[in-house]
Amino acid sequence: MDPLLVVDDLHVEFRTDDGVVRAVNGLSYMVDRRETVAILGESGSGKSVSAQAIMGLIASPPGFITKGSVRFEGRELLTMAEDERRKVRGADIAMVFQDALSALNPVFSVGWQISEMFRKHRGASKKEAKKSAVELMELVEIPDATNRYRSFPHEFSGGMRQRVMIAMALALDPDVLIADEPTTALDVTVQAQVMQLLENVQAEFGMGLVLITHDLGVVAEQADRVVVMYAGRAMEKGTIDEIFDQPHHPYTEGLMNSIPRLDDLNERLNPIRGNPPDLLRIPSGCAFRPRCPYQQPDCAEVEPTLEFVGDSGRSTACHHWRDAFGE
Amino acid sequence: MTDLETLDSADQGAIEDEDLAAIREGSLGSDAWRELRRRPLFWICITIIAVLLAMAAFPQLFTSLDPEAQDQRNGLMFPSREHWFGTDLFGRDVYANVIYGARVSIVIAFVVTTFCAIIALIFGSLAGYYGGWIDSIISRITDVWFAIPGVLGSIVMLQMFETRNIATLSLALIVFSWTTMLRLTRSAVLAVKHADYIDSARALGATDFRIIWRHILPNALTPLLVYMAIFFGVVIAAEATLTFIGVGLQKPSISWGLIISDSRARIQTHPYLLLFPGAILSMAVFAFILLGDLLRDAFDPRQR
Amino acid sequence: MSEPILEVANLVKHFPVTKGVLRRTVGQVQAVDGVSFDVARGETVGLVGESGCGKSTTARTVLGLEKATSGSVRFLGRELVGADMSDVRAARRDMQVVFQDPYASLNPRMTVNNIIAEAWHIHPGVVDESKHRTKVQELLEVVGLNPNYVNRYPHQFSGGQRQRIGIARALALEPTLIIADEPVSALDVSVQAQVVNLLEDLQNELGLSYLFIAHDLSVVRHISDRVAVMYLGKIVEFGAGADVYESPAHPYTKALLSAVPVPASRKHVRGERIMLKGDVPSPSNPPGGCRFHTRCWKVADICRTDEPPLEEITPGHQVACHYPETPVEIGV
Repeated sequence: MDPLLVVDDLHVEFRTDDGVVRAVNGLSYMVDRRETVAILGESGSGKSVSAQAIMGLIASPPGFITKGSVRFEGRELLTMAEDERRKVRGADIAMVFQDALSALNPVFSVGWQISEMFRKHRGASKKEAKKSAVELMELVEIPDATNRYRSFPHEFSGGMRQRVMIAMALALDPDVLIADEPTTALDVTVQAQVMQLLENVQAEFGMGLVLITHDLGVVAEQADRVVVMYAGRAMEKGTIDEIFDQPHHPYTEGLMNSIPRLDDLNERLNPIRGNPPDLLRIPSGCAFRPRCPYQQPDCAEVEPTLEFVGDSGRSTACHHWRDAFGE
Repeated sequence: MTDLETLDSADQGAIEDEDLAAIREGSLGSDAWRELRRRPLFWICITIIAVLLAMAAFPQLFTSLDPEAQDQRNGLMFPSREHWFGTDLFGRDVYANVIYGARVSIVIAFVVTTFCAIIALIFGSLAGYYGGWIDSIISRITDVWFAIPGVLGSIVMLQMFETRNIATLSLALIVFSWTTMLRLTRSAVLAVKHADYIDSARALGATDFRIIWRHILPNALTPLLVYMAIFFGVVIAAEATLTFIGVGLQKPSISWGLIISDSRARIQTHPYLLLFPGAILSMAVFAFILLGDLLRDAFDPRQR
Repeated sequence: MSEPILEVANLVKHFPVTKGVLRRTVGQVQAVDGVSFDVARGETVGLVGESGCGKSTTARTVLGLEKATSGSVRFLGRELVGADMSDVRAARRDMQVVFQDPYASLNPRMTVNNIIAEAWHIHPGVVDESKHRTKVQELLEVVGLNPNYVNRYPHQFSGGQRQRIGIARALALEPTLIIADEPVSALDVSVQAQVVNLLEDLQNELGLSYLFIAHDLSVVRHISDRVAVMYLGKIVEFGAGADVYESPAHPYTKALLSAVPVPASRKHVRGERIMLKGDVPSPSNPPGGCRFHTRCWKVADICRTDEPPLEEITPGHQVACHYPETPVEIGV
């Protein structure tokens, strides 16, 4: 059987007045049912762009998918006709955005927006659609759903709006849910509630979850596997335990050392030197080279590809991982 | 503080030579300039405006004829090699009149635009920055004034003057057209007033004047500049309109409005009397309005 | 720690809610409602809490960017609430601010040189005008930027570099206290640590005090000597970092800490997560009694009627709760 979602050697670039912004440069990963894969990266790493490419949401021009493939249950999405693609969107692969306030339409009630999914895609009657929408609102634990059906997005708190977004994403029972920084705008106690909700609905619906985030804590608690991205490339892939216990890429290690921990006090932080790269001018060879403490002359010449570390399926894109981290 | 250079953390932000070398030079203004520079329309506007300004400043560069020289025998001549735009009833060269008429239009547009902008800057920034009762008073007066139809107001006002010249015409236009600029300035000031860099300046102990002058106005000026370019064109048209209907400039002034007004009686037999001055007037108005649009696009790429 | 340089007592900041053309006041947003704390010389006091808890308003009111409704802010022995504008302006030489958003806190139309030197134009006599440029270059070097970039504009720098410019501006007048309002929240993780280290180094070298406001509990724990936790306009717990984080006494502090996801593998033992119900109530209509009682799992009748005062439960550890969770509880 084909895996649920496969992203293979994806390349996305934006042709702007200032030059070509190479946002994604050969990203590959796969997600199966009931599995959570985290795409971890900082701003400009290409993590959100790759999600938009999967959803077919990249405005072209200026955006172009120059290479690669995205397959859902074996069907290629990138070459699919737009009307067929539209059916995949929402029904098979759904997405939750960071900024729920701007993702929801301010002039319609939230209930109307959720029930619209049923009317438009399922041809449900107004009454049926409303009933299903209220059920969904209850599922995502919006209190007093029947009455809140008529409320407008601005009348909800940030956490409740994110629940509305999740309800809309779940409406058509998708197989893959892509969550792009779903809790970044939320307070930590509300973040905990929303992450718990995502975990519950994933278990109930059996979806594959792609969790895009910059937050190492969220990754550690939520995901099964991680893809660490930098300058549009995957630097390292592995399970949570592999990556957090023993990073095998200098960037991953640098990230881990940068964060202060509640359980590890008063140690001086150990940041990564320098600044994230300008995507107009990604350094030659390894993109992380200018900031890397282990760099060697050959890092500037040859771009490292992902190679397997051990036989568990984890991989790292570093020429010198053996010297730096041991076998 | 000098021996701090050994700070370990100072070093961590380094490797900037590499990435900053790549960054393009220049301020926000120079970005806008880069954008404008490669648009042919911009150069067309600039050329038209430059020619107009040159006409206003040195009309004798464009024609050797005296616009007021009459030659009754050669009245109402159609355009020819000696008289490009033809001659009027009294045999005056229309081309020379159009050239000499530019000065009046440019001067009035300049005076009106400048005065309106000064009023707008002073009261608009006071209202926007201080808010409260100052804002209430200024905004209410502006609203009431805004409700008066501008052209009508100017006509009524001009009819009260015995003699009408550049000064009275400018005054009538200023009195009834400052409101839009003021509202524009006020809202631009409101938009930047809450920026963190304003609070930073206040936290440094900067005076209100300094905050308005150094921080708010430079950042709030763009919409006003754009509108000023458009307004300049509108004033040129307004001057011609008022003069045409007889409440504007009077002879012996030379102005586009007067030339067009004179042509009225003979439009059917001698259409060139209207066509050439009319075309020049429209071109001037068009150039300024288009320049405003281009400036807006360049300063705010999102609107494109 | 030495003598307090900043003492805030019963600080209140209410924003009127107005309605209609006549701007009739129909209510008050109680953004800050009776907050007291102090900062000693060379010390870092962290102020944490979720959005809307009043931590930023507290900072802005201490800075004098908002006018206090009542209460007292004493800075270096001078009372700032109700003081003359000129006194406040003088005090500002010694109290500076670093803001959250490095893209909004620098005037986009000024060069780095003008941004940093502005302080000396406002307070003439601190640095001679002929020395401005060299002094700006020195400051740039101190914060880790290439001194040759004096004539560049803010948009030519990355977020982390801009934040360094903001810090250089705050240092220009050699202040005693820097109020940092979410100074690293807008930065990438890898750059965040650089700025935290820079702030720590500057403190060690210059003996600065910080009032450090953030929602990121780990960063606050890392940098602060003492931490105050705010909820709905009030400080619910205040004490040494170790006390507040290792034996949180207020149920809210406990829940807040337990909600922070731990960036470590599954082998790492995690404490039990306390899931709070619902959202934070509106500060324009806060619950009576203890403001946390609507979400508290230990709520009792007294919590709904009587507001718990902020009281010391162990030396230097203050809590505002009728039923605090500490070892003290067992002893009583």
